[in-house]
Amino acid sequence: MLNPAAKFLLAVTLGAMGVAVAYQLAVDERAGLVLFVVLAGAAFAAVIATAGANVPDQAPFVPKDAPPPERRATTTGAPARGSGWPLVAALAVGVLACTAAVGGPVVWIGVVLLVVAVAGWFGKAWSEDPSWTPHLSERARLRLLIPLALPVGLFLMVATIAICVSRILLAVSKDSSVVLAMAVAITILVTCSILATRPRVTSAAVIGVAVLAVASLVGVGITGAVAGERQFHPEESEGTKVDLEAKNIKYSTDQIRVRAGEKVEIHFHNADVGTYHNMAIYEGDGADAAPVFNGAGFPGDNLRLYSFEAPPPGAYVFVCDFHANMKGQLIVEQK
Amino acid sequence: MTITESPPDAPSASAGGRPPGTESLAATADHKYLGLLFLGGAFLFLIAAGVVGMVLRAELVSEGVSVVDGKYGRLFSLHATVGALLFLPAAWIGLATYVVPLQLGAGRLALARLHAFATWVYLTGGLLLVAAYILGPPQGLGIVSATPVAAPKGGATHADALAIVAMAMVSVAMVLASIDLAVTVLKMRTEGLTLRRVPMFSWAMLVSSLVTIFATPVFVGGLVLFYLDQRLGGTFFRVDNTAGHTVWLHTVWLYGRPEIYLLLLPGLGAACDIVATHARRPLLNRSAVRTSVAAFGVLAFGSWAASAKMAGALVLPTFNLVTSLVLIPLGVVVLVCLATAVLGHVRLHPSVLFVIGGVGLLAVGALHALIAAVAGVHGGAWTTGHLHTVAFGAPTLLLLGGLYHWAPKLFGRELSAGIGRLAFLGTFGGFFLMGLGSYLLGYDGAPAHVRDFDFSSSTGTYSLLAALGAVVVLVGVLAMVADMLTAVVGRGTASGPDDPYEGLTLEWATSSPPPAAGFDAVPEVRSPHPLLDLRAPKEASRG
Amino acid sequence: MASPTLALTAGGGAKRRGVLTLAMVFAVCGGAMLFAALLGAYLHMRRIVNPFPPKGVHIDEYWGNVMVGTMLMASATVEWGCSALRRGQRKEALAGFGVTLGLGLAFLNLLSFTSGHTSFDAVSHPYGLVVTALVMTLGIVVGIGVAIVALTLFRVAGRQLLEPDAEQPRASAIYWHFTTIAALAVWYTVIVLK
Repeated sequence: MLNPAAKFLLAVTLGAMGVAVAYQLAVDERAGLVLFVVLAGAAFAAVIATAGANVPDQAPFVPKDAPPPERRATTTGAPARGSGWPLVAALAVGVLACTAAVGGPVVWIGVVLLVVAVAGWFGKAWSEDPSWTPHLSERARLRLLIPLALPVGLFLMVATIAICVSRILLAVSKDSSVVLAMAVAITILVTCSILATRPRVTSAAVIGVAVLAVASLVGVGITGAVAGERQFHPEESEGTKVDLEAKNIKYSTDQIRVRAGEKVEIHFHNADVGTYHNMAIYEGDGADAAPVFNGAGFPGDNLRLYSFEAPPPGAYVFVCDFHANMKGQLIVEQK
Repeated sequence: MTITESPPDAPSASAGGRPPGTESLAATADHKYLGLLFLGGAFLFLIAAGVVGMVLRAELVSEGVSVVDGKYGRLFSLHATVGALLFLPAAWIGLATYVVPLQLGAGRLALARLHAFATWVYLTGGLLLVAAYILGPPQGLGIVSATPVAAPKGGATHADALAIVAMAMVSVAMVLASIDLAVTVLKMRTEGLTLRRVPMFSWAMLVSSLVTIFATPVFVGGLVLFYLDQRLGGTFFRVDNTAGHTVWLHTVWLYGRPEIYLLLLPGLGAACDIVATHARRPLLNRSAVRTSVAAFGVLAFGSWAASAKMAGALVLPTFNLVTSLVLIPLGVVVLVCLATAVLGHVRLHPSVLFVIGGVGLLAVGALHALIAAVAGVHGGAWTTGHLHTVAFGAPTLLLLGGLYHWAPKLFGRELSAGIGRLAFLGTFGGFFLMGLGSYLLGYDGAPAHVRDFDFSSSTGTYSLLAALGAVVVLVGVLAMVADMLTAVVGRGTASGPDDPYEGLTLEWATSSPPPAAGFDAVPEVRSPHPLLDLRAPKEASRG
Repeated sequence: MASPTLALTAGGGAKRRGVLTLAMVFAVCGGAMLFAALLGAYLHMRRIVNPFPPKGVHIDEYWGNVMVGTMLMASATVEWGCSALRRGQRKEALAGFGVTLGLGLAFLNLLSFTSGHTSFDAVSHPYGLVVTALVMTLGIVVGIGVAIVALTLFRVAGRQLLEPDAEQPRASAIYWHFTTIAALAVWYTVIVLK
């Protein structure tokens, strides 16, 4: 006998199968079809997992002449035991998200933090198992922590510091990077001197300082990475500014002239409310023309700055990908 | 079997730390604090979105005065994304995290630490999402746009990529919390509380959680494609790739996904529990309601069959043959609630007012759907009005009703009835005006969400009406949030009556607010309404 | 301590059986839908884009077949580990989970090797993007599987999970079988169907 939850899942299974057939006949489109087919399969797996004794759903038998129900029949037992590791792991996921948005090797900072958080969470669960004893923890410490976790951890720490500091120093200007590096060095020196001169330092204080330092370092490092590296070679020319407006499904001009190799900034104003426009540049006019630059489309009324480096000399076409009749010529002259 | 050197309970002492249930907020696994955290985050993001929405409206009303020049697309996208992703689903999960274990007579969640992880991932992801919108340049209309957002050549900005990753984070958090809620309902019920006897809110949350488990990963899959496309500057979601367009409609577009129906689904269960409690009698026909709620969940999957052609359709953009059937279960639930309320001479507690308001908004939506069908109007501002009324307005009212109803358990005291009536008038009237303004604009043929407008005609008045509605909603919500905040602050010392309403279900059998273990003692369960059985033992023999 | 009213099983106090297994089944169902979205995108595009795969794309079948074989073997060894635990053979279980861990890492290594030697890029054609998304998702999913098996291995090594009704090994095996099915689906779609 199926319990109501399994029945619901069975209805999902059958419904998905039915819709899959109907969808194939009526629409004949694969992306939706695959969704319904896999849904049917997955829901059926869930039916099996929730059916029968997997989810007990039998009420105890109460005879007709039973005494009235008791107000204090059962207790719920101990509440769930908490841990700080889920929060740490979630913050690590947040760092991973930030680094994934930035891309490149900084992603590994997020991955490493997540691994550390999972390991900590796991260690906590381990130590709560009934079989856990201080003797066991000593053995784990000797066999795992000292030969494995310590060197790996130290390496990761050094790598994190190196990556973060380099991101920061690359993001700020040349002079301030020198000042910043000195300031960081002095801060470390002063903090460690203070800690060293204290006759007694609680471990909580040391951990607090360390956590604060790591958090701010990683945070500022990611900010630096987001900001990107400073320009090492100042621009030779200022580049060209072009104002372009799209209104009533038309560009404001049908010819733009720039010089080869220079930086072009198109200040693109889409004045058609609610309509998507963009500006893309192609080599030639045909269907298989290669795109040189493709600005993101967006609905009006809105402004967007497109910037790119002018291609080699020649005649190009600029069009709106949304409206084939919006066209113009881009003429690139010799430098 | 290993021979343990200590009895199973000993490690709690030897492992150090505080005994379970008394950890600090950062280390808590207590469903009550996790629920409040989820709710707090949801309201925080709602207020952020509300403020942004008002800035938008102000811009619509005062033609020419550009409040946020050039940022319109971004802000529009933010208020829609927050409303549909960060507020309503999260608030339902938060309320359920708090209330469902109590309704089941359980002292804890099944996978409490996983739920804690989900809570923190949701809060982190939500903050990152809002931050990405504030920092970044506008990027199309995001998940409410039926047209895919094409990637710029050379890759998107960091802020755009962050917005996508943050949406994925929030979605994963929803899935994890849903897994835990579903397992909690299935595995943690007290003795005698069979699935047929589970209170309707818990049942609706079970259905909603199961649908989330199957539906939201598809959104995450779409976000993976979206992220890679944006980051690398690929061609997948470009306009010339029609395959990408179809994939976008199934996976990323908000109105092509089953989640749009989940905004309302938990509200149906909450409404049933609220009405039954304040009518002081069991629901007239529990099995009909249970089946209807389940059917609503099954039919939600029909959204995946929606296509671009449906984008301007009636009722919801996803309206098609399958999803239109949701009107039947919806009608059954409303009728059973109505009959129960009438038969039980329902008491007009603020929560009941909210339920009436929510049903009222659904009725208004149905009426306008009828008018539009006759007049042949669809799309544009009409759809905006319909979304605000049916998809967001009605569920929000039901959610607020749920908060008023369970306030004694959530905060240890009832929320002020006066402020409750004010909040009701604000939210109901506001959503009504907001919908009405947009509906009227729609009958005049205005497009959805335009920025500058010709105010020489009646459209100016209608736009003003809609804007006024938004302000009134925000005032109502703020009044309520202020009351809730004072209640949260006083929660530690508050101790209200256990059962202020003469409730039927188990959550009213514990103290207000409940102790760390949830219950001191759980009553015996022999029917769907164990507390009624305790008061009238003769009834129990029939149950 | 125990009050006389404790006549019935407690709501959450008694150890509920099958919580972890059920949660894992639900998680795996969600994972299947994640792949459904991506595979649906691939199959839909395969149907309406012509030519497909685009000209110049060459898929090395050999490495794909090796990877699928690796995953199938790992599925067998994880089952071996579970059955050894049920029979109380701790050493054997360690071997089973250890070999699974090694095969999983080998798979990840092969995946990163082959995706570094592809003849297409993710930017110029939608095909490259979908395949990249599939490979990346599969890599993450298998990576999570490796982590889960590693945690189980550690606990078994530390003489935990030895009771016959321990759920973590079962749940790890369910997850691992899911990764194998996902790898099979991706292999069939991208390499066999093309």
